[in-house]
Formats: sequence, C-alpha cells, structure tokens
Amino acid sequence: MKILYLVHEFYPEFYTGTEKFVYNIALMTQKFGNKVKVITYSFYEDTYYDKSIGNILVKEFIYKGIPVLAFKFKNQPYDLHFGLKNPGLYDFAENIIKDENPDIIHVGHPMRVSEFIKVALKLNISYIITLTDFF
Amino acid sequence: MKFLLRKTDKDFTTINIPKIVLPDITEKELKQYNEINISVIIPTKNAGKEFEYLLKMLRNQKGFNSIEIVIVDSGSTDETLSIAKEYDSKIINILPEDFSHSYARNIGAENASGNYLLFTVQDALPPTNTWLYNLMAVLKNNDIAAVSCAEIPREDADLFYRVICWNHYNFLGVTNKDKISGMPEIPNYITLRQNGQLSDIACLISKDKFMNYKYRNSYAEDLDLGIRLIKDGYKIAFLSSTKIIHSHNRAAYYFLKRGYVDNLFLADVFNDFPIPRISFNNFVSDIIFTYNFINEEIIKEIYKLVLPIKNVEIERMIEDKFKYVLEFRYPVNINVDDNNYIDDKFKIFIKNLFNEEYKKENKSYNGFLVSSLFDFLKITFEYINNTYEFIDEELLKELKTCIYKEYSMLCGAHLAYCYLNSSQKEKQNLQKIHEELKEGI
Repeated sequence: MKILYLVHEFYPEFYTGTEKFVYNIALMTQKFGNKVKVITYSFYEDTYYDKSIGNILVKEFIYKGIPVLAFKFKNQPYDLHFGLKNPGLYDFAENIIKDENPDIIHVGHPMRVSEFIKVALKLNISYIITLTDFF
Repeated sequence: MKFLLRKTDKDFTTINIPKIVLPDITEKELKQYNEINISVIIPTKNAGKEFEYLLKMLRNQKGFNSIEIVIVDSGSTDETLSIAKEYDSKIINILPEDFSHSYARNIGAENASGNYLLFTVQDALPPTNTWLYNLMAVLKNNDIAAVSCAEIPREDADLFYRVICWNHYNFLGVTNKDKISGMPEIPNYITLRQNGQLSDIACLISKDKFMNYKYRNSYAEDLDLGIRLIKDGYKIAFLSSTKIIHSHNRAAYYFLKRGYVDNLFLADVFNDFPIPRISFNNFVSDIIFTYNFINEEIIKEIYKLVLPIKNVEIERMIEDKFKYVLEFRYPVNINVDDNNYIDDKFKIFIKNLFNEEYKKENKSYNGFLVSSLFDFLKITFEYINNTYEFIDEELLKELKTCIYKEYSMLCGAHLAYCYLNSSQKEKQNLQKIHEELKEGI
C-alpha cells in the first residue's frame, strides 16, 4: 500500500508539533511495510530546488528515511496561507498524485496543499484529515 | 465478515466467520462477557521499566467479568516484582534453573483462577483497550480451540526483524488476512507448521482445553500445542486484523543460536524435515569464506555508493558480486575486530572457528553458504522494494547489519544440520559448539 501525507510545512525546515506528528506516523506506517511520501510546501532559496514546473519549484529528498516532495511557488500568491483555489497548483497536484498513485492520502494540515485534496476527490482516492494546529 | 484463507491452497481450510468487524469495536459497543474470567500468564525475568505499560494495558482491557494477572518469575533482580505487586498480580516464583518456556507457563496455568487463559510475554504491549475482547470475540464466535495474533513491530525494530516477521507471516498465509486452520489434507513439515502455528506472544485458550494439553518441550511449545490441537481435530485461528506490539533488536550471535535451535526443533518434531548432509570441516571453510566475502566484497563495495540510491541499483550491485563468487579463493586472513555490524560474542565465535577449525587452503570457493545467503537477500530486497524506493544512509546501515544477521542465522541452521547428520564420534567433537549454541534460547 502507498500512503501520501500532505502537510503545510515539514522537516528539516520546520520542526514543531504537526511536522513531528506527520513524521512519526509516516515512519511507523513505513515500518509496517508500506510505501510513504510526504508532500509539503516549503520556503527554501530558489536555488535549492531541482525542477521547475510552471510557477512551481520542486525538490525531492529523503528526510531521516522518509521521502519528501517539497514545492514552492516562484511567485508567491497573496493568499498563499489561506487561499483554497489555485488552478496552477491544481494541475501540478494532479500530475503528482497520478504519478504517485497512492492508495490513500492522509492530510496532516491542509494549508497550502488543499488543491491536492480536490484532486483526490476527483480521482476518487480516499483521504483522511487529522486536525492539527490552530489555523 | 468473510475471512479469506488462501482459497487456492488445498491445504488450508476455508471458513466463513460470522459478522464481527473487529477493528471497529469501540468500548461503548462491546458486549460484556460476564461469564468470562481471564487469567493472563506472563513468565518474567528482569522485565524492565516498560513492563508497567503492559500491566496497565492488561488492567484496562474491557468486556470481561475479571482479569487476573499471573506472573511466573524466575529470579528477577530489577523492579519487575514490585511493578507486578502494584498491579495486583499473583506472583509465582520459580528457580532460574527450573525455567523452561513450557514449565513456567504450565505452572502459571495451574495457579490461574480464570476460565480462559491468555499467554503473553513481558515485552509485548496490547495496542487498545479492546484488543483482548477482539481475540475473545473470534474464540467465542467460531468453532476454534485457540487464537493467536500477529505482531506489529516497535518503533525501533530493525530491518532484519521486520524482514523475518514479514516473511514468516507470508509463510503462514496471514499477511493482511486472518486465518482459521485445521489439519491439512496433506500433513507434512510445511503444512503442519502453516496450519498449526500459535504464538505465545498472544495466545488465548480456555483453561479446560489447555489443561488437557499443557505445554511441553523446552522450545517452540506454542507451535507444538497448535499442532497437537489440529491433529486432534480442533481448529485454531491466527489473526492479522488484530495485532500486538512486540519486537526485538537482538544481535547477530542470538540469531546464530536461534538458527541452530530452530532447526534442531524442526528435525526433532517432523520426521519428514529434510536434513542436508553437511561435513562440519567443509562447512567451517564455508563460514569463513562467506564472512570474508561479505566483509571484503559486499560491504566494501557498498561503501563506494553515493546516497541516496535506488533500491534496484544496490540490488544489482550485490547480484553481480554473487555472480562471480566462484572466482574468489578461500581467505588466508579475516578481519573481525573492525566489524561494527556484529556483536562481540559473534566475533569471538568466528575467530575461534578461524583459529581452531579452519584449514587454510589456497583453492577456489566450492561451498553453498553464499548461495543460501543470496536467496535470503532476495527475500530482503522483496521486502525493501515493497516499502522503499531509495536507500539512504540510515537504511543502508540497517541493510549491512541485516546481511550479517542473515548470515549468522544461516550459519546456525547449517551447523544444526552438521550436528544432526553426524556420527556419534563426530557428535563428540561438535559437543562444545552444540552446548554453546543451544544454551539460553
């Protein structure tokens, strides 16, 4: 089984409660013999990223055993932290989810990654959300 | 709920289990088993601080009239007994020299007041308050004599432990499915093990039934009980939908002994268990060669890799090394002291074999242990490929340790074959190794 984890920010850039929760559950799910990947928004310098797809920069790496796909807008939209609609991100998310082909998606925090949830709905991929944080 | 029991395999019995959606049972929904008093039997010796978590979870189990905890202690010197008293346990002390897995559990059962017995171990942990209820629901709703469940590994479980667990559950046919099994149509050492497996990590059985059988033997008493039950026409269950937290991170030397004892047991219990004829002297050469091959060819090649690396690339690299093994010669020296992936006891074992038994001959490799290790590694990569896409530094470190543990387990297994197929005179020569390897497992 393959599980994708969506979170608004992640290690090593950010490292508080929600990130810790997502890391721990991804690690244990992996230890139970499942493939996992964390998809997260990020704020690294532009030069850190390996790929550029439209307005989105992408970097894939492994953080302490957990595969991570971190992305960032080249030109940050004004509503980055609260917007729920971004057609460019939706297309990007659709390509990523089709490529990853997960059995289930677990949302640790929907901020900045909500378009991935819309894609999951369209592709009929089950998802669950654990409510975290105070936003 | 229908539990699919390897429908295509004629050796398994397929049974429809009544609708009991076990993982969804909440405390509010469960029906009270007012007539059931559980006795939990736990053999202990220096169980450590985490023992308290187990007792707390057992005390919190819902759905029964009463839960009694029976501790059979064989000489703890840590806080085990004070923790047990704190949780109102019945404590039975036995002498350390009297301990055997069967004796301790049988004594516990004899002193138990419950009408059902749960056998578990000091380092296991039920994950929920309805875990025991789930086991009981299966026992009560199906025509079975006993039920066990699979393990989920602890957070620190290493790659080797996860691989052998995964492989074992594949062998039993319980990976992601529950199984009820009886006597196989074609009983042999494979089908009897597959159908007769109970596990003392968690085994629930009525006291009446258990007292008719009890445990016996000093090792694999759970499998022995399961086989006796199915041979007498009973059915038993092994669950994957309900699991218990349990795992060990033990060193290579333990798995050397484990491989040895496992195979002595299998040969003892199953008349049809095939025992290859292996000469001890030749096998010592094979042990030394294979150790050196791993150390000098596999591990050194792995050091050259740039990480992270795709699984397939490292798998291919190892395959290539194994392909050309016949071109390598038996070593004149081996480097044991600098090996960070094996424990000191295993180092001493290898060094003693090298110094006392190994005959240095300048000839090409003609053994079989490398090939056995390669087969084990194929299983390992099957597991890795199911779980990972890339191997990073942490996983690579685990893989290196895993290779040595697999090697040590295979050494133990084949040393058991050497012993089992040796003449009385040869057995005398092997007695020292025999005593060392079967002690303490």
